[in-house]
Amino acid sequence: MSHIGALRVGVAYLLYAALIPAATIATLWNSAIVWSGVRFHITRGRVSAMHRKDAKGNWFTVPAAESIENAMKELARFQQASPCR
Amino acid sequence: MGRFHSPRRYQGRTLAVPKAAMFPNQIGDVKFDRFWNFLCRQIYVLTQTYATDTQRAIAIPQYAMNGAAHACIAIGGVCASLLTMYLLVAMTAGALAEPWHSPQPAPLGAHGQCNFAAGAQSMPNEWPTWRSAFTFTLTLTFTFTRVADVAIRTALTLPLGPLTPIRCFHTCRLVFSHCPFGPLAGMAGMAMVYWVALLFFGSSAIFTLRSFASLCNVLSPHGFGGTPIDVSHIGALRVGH
Repeated sequence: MSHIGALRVGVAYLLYAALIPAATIATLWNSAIVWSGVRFHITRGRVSAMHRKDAKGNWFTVPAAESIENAMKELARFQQASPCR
Repeated sequence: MGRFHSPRRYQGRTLAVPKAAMFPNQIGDVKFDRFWNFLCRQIYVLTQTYATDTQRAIAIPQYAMNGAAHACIAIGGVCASLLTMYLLVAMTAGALAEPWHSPQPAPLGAHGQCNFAAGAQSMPNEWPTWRSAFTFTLTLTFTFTRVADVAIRTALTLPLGPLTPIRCFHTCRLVFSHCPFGPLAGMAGMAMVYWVALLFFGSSAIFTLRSFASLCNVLSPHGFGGTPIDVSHIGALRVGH
């Protein structure tokens, strides 16, 4: 932090402080957020849908039931493949 | 008498606390859209994800307050900067207009003194709209930064009530109009409140930072990369800004 001048920090803080209310309003207004390339949709405090981008750059999602089914199948395959304890 | 072994000691492992979990995030050299996304993500997680309605009822007003406080800091910062520059120009002009060895009696002090207050005394005593707006903004900033952020946590704002900013404004205006050094000196005092408040918060932030650093050093006695965390070089003035 020593390489940053006090004036630059001051100006940056003022700009940051000005952005916070705008970001708060924008966030409260929006029910979706893009996080690491995944768009999360929230309904009543919980994730209700996740969208990813395909090779063409279009957003797509997999239904929750299908996603859980695939995960369970993957887990079963892993357990069958792993040696017995 | 048996000895108690912590799981860490029992497993022969080293306990480590990542610095990233304790200290403010460093987002690096990024473009504005990524910085905006970073800001929104922080607010999004704390306001949009919740398990109960009570958590939501707490989180949303808290972040509305946070947004309002930052808006006041931004507006108050711009106003205090402009006001400080204006005061410097006005007082310098007053000092230049009133020579060091003035034959006229100085409004403040004896003959022959450098009289910066001459600029203040030459100012009109009425209150133009823009000066009231400045003062009101600074009063709001003072209220939010000093009263809301600190006193709410210690529950001292409850007896003051929601009319605190208005009361402060009227009190400041009353004090300024009767200020023996003139309205300019009163305004200078109000502008100084902002900078003193920032310095106060800088000191608080430094105290928090040093507490976290000592906590990290205690929890991870082997250090981070062989050296303990040292934040003694970070000054309160810089963080206050």
